[in-house]
Amino acid sequence: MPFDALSDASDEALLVAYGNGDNAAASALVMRLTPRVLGYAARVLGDRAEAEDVVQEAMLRLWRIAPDWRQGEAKVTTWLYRVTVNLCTDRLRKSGRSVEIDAVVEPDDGRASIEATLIQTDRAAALQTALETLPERQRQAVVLRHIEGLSNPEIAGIMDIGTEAVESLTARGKRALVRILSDRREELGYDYD
Amino acid sequence: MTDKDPLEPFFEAARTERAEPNDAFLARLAADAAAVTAERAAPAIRSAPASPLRRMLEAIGGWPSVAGLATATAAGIWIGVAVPDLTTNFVPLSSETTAFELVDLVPGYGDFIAEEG
Repeated sequence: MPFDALSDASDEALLVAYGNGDNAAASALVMRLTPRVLGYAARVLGDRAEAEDVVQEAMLRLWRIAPDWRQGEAKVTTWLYRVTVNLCTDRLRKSGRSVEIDAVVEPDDGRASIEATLIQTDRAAALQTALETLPERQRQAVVLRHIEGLSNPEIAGIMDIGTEAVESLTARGKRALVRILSDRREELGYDYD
Repeated sequence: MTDKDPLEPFFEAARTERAEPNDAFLARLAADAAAVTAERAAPAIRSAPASPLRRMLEAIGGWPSVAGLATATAAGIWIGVAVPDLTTNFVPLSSETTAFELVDLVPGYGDFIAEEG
């Protein structure tokens, strides 16, 4: 497939082209999809190296199913997110980092100075700490919805649950995040009404 | 998600601080894809469909077995056409006490032995 065509082609078309032996199509998919699933995995696992392992495994599975991919049945992004979500869940459970439902605890109190400048990195780090205390399903739903920017129906497809369940997970997750982060609101620079 | 969502500044920060893949990682993923393509191509070459003749030959042990098969076929035809005494004067070994002359064991050669005397 010519380079120009690669940038215009859908994910599904690229995957089918790769399944027919076009490695350039695979490279285009790598460039397009990797940032999304790596961002998700790193946010959910809280570990860059582990996130890379998960993404590599997920992409490997994508390469292997490529010859059997049927256009129109599923979106490649949905499929890849689903595999990544499941691999992350396995990792969290094996490492014992998964948190039981409703067992949310307060985050580590490694707070920086209250006078510290409220920079973006601090906020991202604080959110990460808070996210890691959430039950895994809530964490996954919140990251997919509010950081990855996916729609609730998309997340429902990825997590294999109903849209209402997604709404419930994100709502409970956000309530827990607000509760956890409220203790640090002065430090992190936001106010409630 | 509204402006008043107290979490939005955190989500925004997380979106900006997203883990980006480096070139080495991207290259590794592309290499995986190429390796899977190669894996797929390799068995296809090894398992090219065999002709029916080749499959039959492999089933019976290859060309050497064909020589034996041809010999057996020729022998069968010869026996059918010539009908030697060997096939008609069969003597069943019905009792351990039965005594046999050479002519009984090789009846087809009986006349030849008698002549040689």
